[in-house]
Amino acid sequence: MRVALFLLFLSIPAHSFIDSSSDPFFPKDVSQNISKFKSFPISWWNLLVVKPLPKESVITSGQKLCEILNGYKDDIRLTGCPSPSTQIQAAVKDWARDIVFRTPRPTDKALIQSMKTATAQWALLIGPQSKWIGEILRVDPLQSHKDLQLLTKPPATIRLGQFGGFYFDEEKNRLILPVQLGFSPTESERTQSFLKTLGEHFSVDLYGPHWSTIENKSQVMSDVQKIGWLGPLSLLLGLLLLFFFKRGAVIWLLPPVFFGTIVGGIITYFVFGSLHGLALSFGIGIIGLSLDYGFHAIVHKEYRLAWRSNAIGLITTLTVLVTLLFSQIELIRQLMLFSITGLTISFILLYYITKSYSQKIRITSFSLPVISRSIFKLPILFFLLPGLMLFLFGLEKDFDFRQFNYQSKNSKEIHNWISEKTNMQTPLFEIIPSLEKPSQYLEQKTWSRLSGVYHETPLKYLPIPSLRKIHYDSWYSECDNSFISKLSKSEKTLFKPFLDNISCEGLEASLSQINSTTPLYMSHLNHNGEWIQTWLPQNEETRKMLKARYPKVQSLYELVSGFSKALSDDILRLGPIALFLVILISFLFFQKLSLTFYSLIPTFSAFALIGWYFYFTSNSLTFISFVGLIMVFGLSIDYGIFITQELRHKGNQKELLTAISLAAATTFLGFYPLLLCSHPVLIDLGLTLVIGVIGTYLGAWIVFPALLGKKINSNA
Amino acid sequence: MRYLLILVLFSVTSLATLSSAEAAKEVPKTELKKRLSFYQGLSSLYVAFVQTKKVKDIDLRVKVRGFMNVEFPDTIHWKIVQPAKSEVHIFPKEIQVGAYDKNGNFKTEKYSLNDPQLGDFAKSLKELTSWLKLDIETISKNYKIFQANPNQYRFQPKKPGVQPFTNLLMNLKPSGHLASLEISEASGDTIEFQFMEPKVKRKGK
Repeated sequence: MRVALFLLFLSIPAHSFIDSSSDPFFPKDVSQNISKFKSFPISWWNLLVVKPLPKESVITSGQKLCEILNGYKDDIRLTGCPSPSTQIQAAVKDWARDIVFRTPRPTDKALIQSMKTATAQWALLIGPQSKWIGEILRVDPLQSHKDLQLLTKPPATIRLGQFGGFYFDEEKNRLILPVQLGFSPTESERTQSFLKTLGEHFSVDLYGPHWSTIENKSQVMSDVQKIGWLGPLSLLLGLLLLFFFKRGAVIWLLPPVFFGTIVGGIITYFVFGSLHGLALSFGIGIIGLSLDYGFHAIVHKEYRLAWRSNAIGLITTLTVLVTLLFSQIELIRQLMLFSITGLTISFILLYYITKSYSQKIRITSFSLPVISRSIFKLPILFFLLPGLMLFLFGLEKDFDFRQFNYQSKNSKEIHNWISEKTNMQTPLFEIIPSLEKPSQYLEQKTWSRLSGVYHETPLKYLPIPSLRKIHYDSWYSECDNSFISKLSKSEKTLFKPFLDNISCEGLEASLSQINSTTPLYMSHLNHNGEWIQTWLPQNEETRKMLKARYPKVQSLYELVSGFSKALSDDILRLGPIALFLVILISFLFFQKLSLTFYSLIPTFSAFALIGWYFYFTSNSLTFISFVGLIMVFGLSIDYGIFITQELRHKGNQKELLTAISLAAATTFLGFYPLLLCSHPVLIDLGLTLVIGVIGTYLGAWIVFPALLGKKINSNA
Repeated sequence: MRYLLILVLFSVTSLATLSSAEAAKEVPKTELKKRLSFYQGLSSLYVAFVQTKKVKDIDLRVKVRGFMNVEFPDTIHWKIVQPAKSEVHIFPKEIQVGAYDKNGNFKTEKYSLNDPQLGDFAKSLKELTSWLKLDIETISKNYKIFQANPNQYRFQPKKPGVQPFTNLLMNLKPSGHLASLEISEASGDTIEFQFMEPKVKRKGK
């Protein structure tokens, strides 16, 4: 049931009310910076890798690919293709127009000479492609477009043969073309549509942020489809078995949990204004814990006693959830609110249903073997204590977000191949809200130039406003352009676009244009009026120097690691508070410190087994494991309270064991298919839950009675 | 009346087509070779030219002057001297383009003819080379040759759309020297070269 809901909601992340962005993963300021970074077209570069080609057809294939790509006017901003796209042509024209801001006006003599040189060059142009070069010469006889060509030369050193804008690997016969798409990686459907239409002409792989986004999404979907039938099928079989053993009444427990989940989701949506797909998916797992209370109630003969234990179980679980509601991470807050509301509503409804129909939905217990003697005491201690030590101190905690980046075998191969062939360091960046006070950025530009660090900054393309004004004034003061009378008729016609630009009206239009819109040649560095500058240090030493000089400059990884830091802070800050409150509530309920401690045994058992397993398989505790641990903690604390209470009151252990077995079985059957997935997020969650549930169950069934059975009875 | 007008127009156009077909009859390459026998067996050729480029859509005519030096079999130096110095040197596998930069320095850049960065410019240049060398063998592979009058030849691509030029018109002097070559491009632009008296060196001399 849990997994059915989990999969149901996980498989519909495209619904308008479900958020699938990464924003809620981070504290607000970090999230804003990440989403800003993603909005700048400079982060939209990918590599198109053409599948192996015969050597003799490489050049023609490259040309054909470029011809096809030129047809994608909206989907592609820039490519390495030699034949320039309309966007590049427009950007070069903008660049030529803005020469009046970049340089002071040359003398009349120099202007005339430039035009004569450009005329001679223009006459040499021949063939279809030369048409647009001719147009550039007409608007830019001073040939400043050559400066733009130098400025936009890619800095990365790729150790591959290069021709035109392509790279070619002779060993693998692969052709690579850098491509800057015209939209953000978050627009997966657009990327898919682009690849689909391109795939009709060419067999290519895309490597970069756009493909990574698609690959991750589709892998989750593929995993969900793969396991989608397995979880529900297992549960259905389980349910059929229960019907076969005349215990099919458990089906009555499902509607309250469904209802609680839906109401919890609605409340969370209205509080946060959105509900993240992951919060929804994982929250359902936590809300599903309310089924355990139902099982406990319908198996137990002493109805009141069962619900008293259930209430304490709920309160302790809610304590943990409420504490974590104060997390810095919105995703955790959403998850907790959803779980709290869903769990509480389900609990109340289950209470009324089991109370109202107590006879109808009651089931008898199974004849399960009850362990009452401590024959396993010593081996259990050897399992429990070192396991807990390993869990607390021996496991590596890795909250690095990058580990959840799924890469298929093909992508991994391309990734390794590209990493091997390039010297690219991780780029660093800084977002500049405004260029109004550019002195500090000018200093950065000078420092980067002197240090040999590649620096992409708006100031590379346009001077600071004061200098811009000096240049502009020098053109404007002579905007009557008396030298035009010395030009021939054909020169006047040929360079009309340039002469129009430097006329008084043309200059005024350029000034108004630059003040109102971002020129196309630097639009990759602008988004909604904010600017981005990036650095590409050539090695680790320069990176450190850069970081030491400008601490605000950071890589995307450093920015994303804000999540790891926030999560670590949360665990250190909120974890002890939650644990203390749970112990306090248990103590208030049991009135004895020893009983309180004993009720934690299933939890210890679960964590010990996780400790052993993760240690020996060299797995790290990840963010998703952490979410899984919250679910395991909620589950195990309930089992602990049930069993401690049961043994204290000398209740029927078989009844209790039946309830716990049913609860553990549904959790296990629901989540073991996750182990068959390929996406690390799903595997991590499945692994933590399955190991945790086994540990909890063993804790309640074997460890607890074996260690403490007699003691509790005597205490009671 | 309208039908009569159409009939008259149809007759006129049909007659024009028939007369042009009769006027420009296709000739074998051997005949052209014979007419251009002056250019056979050369080791070098030096000729001054006036180049006029006409751009149809902006009604522009630009005239430049220069000279061409062909070192047979496959090197061409194309130098424009007026209105400003500008050069193209065509070698078998590369081209060199020289011009003044914005600081007034004359700079030469080299490109491989296989460099895709040159795009169809390389293809057009290779094509132009065979015309400037008057390499009839290569020309006749791609173009049909028509003779309009004793001193004028018209060339049309055998496969329209494949060749960079759509139409070429060659005028010869009675002496057999090349007087002019007019090249029409797909865009509708034309380039006309008017050649002066050539200076040649023959092989073995």
